[in-house]
Amino acid sequence: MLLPSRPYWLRFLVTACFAIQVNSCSFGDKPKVEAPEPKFDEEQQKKIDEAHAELEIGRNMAGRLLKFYGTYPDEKMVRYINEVGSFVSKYSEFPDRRYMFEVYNNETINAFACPGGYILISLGAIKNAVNEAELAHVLGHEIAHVGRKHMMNALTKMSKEELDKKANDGAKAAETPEELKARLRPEPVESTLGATIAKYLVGSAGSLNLLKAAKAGMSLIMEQGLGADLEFEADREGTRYAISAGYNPKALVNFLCRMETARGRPKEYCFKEANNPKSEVKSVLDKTHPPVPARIAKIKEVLVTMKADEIIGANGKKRFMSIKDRVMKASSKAGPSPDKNKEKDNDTGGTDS
Amino acid sequence: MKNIPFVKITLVLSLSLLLTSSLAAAPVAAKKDGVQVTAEAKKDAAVITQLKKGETLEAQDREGMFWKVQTKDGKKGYVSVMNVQRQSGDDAGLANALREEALKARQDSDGSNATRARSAVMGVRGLDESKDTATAGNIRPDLRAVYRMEDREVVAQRIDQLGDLINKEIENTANDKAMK
Repeated sequence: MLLPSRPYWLRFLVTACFAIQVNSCSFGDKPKVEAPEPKFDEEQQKKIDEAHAELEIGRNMAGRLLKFYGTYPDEKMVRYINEVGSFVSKYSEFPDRRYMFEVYNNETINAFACPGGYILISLGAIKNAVNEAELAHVLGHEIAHVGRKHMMNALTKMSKEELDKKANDGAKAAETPEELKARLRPEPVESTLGATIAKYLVGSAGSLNLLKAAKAGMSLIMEQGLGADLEFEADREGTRYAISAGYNPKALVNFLCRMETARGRPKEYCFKEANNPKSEVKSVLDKTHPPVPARIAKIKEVLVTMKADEIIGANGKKRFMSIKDRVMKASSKAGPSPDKNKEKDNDTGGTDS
Repeated sequence: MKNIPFVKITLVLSLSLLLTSSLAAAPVAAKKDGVQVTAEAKKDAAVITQLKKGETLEAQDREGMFWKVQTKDGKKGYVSVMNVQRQSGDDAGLANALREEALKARQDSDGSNATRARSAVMGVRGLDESKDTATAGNIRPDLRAVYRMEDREVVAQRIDQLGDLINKEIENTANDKAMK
């Protein structure tokens, strides 16, 4: 009691005045000060949101691939890959974009380009290369996919029905055993920011669900591919970037041909006519890319335009081999690589349905 | 309300979009005085103009050992790749700004479940090869691994050093060829 000795009516008056003061503050007579709204037109706002959505989708896709395959634990090598990749990207059409590179732990020869600049290259691809120039060309190919937004454009053009179908394809194929269902973590809830961005995306996927887009992207990247035209485009542009960066112009041709000869095919196979029938599907690369002879034929067209026979390019063999030797030594110590899916305590981290 | 960070993201991203759309060509700078710009991509071609050390031109594409360039008065010509240095532009600041915004946006995303304690789910065994790729599409992302990618910094100096080593190798090879 503040004023125990005062008359009751005075105490009541003081309390009442205090209560009125508090309430008048909460009614908010003063106008709220909000952050000024950015002044962009609709077209600019769409582009900005699209760039941000690209990052969210790519992050999700890269995360799934890295969870599935695992990262290769050699930070020195990964840093080297990032240096070469970042160097080549400076000679691309999009030098301001950020490209991030990681090596995933798989012996098959492949690389993935996720929206937002997340580029994953397999250990097998590094083992297949014999010099830095070949690595640079492979990374250039992936940089072209990202810079030209091949994946993002493919996802944005999909109808809602196609998106749903591709996102759900995985759920049907990989059913979780009953005894594991009870231990699954709950579904992640899509962020509010993601939902806000989604509604600004252009095209028929105006209400593109970012999570579904990421899952549909996985179907494209691992099963269907982006289509022959976009792969040829990535080969062409990646070759241009690597040559502009100073690398041996024929490195990608050498890399692709070595892939085929490693399968037991003669070298002449690489240089057959472009309409060579598609080889027997064996790997993710086979499923998602045109046959090697067709790719080499297209790359040669670029080399002619750029007068590649007159170009002196660097190979960077010594630098590359000092890194590759580490990988080969680690492989020989480890012995034959175990099948990841048959390992004990292989933590899949739960599944999204 | 997350208006203020979102405003910053949109401002930085809009700048990046404006900048990237104008960088189809890239500048090259003359390494020394007297660098010749020729009418054709060969050594003995007619000389259009000569450059001073540090003078820049916009390079379009490679043709043999020459950059296809455009002079300041709009003429198209060629300059030897050995005599010029490609400029990286002033994108370092922008790239850093984008990186910072991506890191901040990470805090707004819903990756928290994936970055916490390991899941108790055991590996699913016995999957045949045809289901493996479908499983990859259905799996929970390893955002911790992705954040490592994002946090990894490539030092600009290392990239410049790589460029110097490549140029050196090209010069040595060219000299060896000339001596034969």
